[in-house]
Amino acid sequence: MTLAFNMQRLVFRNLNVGKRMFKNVPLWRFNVANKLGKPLTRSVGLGGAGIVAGGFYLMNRQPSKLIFNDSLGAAVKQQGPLEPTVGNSTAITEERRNKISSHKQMFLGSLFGVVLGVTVAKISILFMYVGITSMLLCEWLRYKGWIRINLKNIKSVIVLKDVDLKKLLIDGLLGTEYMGFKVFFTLSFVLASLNANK
Amino acid sequence: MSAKPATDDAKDELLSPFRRLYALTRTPYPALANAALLASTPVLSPSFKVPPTQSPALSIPMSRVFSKSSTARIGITTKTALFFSTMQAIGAYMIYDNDLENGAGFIATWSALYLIVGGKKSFSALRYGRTWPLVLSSVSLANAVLYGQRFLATGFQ
Repeated sequence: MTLAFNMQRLVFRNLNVGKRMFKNVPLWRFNVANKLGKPLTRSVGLGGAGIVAGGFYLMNRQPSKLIFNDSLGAAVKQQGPLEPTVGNSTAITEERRNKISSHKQMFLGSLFGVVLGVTVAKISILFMYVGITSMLLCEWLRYKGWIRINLKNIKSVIVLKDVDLKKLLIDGLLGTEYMGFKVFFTLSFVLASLNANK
Repeated sequence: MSAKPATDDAKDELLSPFRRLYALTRTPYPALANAALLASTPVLSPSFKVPPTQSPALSIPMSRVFSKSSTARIGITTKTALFFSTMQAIGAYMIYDNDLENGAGFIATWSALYLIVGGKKSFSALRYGRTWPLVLSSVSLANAVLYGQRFLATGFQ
């Protein structure tokens, strides 16, 4: 819940600024009053979010069905000459496959977050707030156990190279299977949305 | 087969400096350099606040409702620099782990996002004699272009 808390502070910071803008601001401004009750800066949650992202990366090295079998050939070719295949090749191949899948989740999450964040920022800021708030609310409701989302009946159609895009986007954002994708998508989406509109 | 890498290296020597820089993107060192520059920003060029020169108006237009506070901050903040430094380090680790495609895409994406976040700030900081944010933006732009090129090259193989 630390990540959600940081995201909430990131999201609701501008709302505080909006509230303050509506107040009756006098022509003169006291220096002491100006420092008291100042809204949180945007960068307060960034450090914590970065640490959480690093922690997520270290913890979520679990196998994933995102990458098909064809992508393993490219991974094997990228091995350098200083890494000979010695020992149990089956276990090494499986570990290699899982690591490649984790890296791909993190990259695609960042890429989609930036692209969608910039797009949304150009359309509407309120739309971004509603989207993030709905996402966090959905996560909180699932954490409380009040709702359960079952998306296994939806068939997947879109495939980008060796990645099932529909499965990645739906299960990544609404499910709990691809936490690496979700973490990096949220970080890059919020940053792109808040900054692309300036 | 050992002659072919030497030929490629010889070709890289004859080609343009962009090609030589592009050859570096096979390694994590440009991303690590960017991470080091970002991590040292709080020491080399900390951000500071500038008080507003004008008094606030009686009526505030609607377009400024969601804008940031009137006290502008010049330069890149500490947490922003450390956050993007962490992201560059994660991407460098991916390349070090022999995952060149995802690592290059990851670094290019987060370098582009850094330009979105701190690009304008680097030019506004020049007004106060701060050139370090412009150095960071230039390095991030180079990383975004070179690693993006590398990602596209590996993606279409």
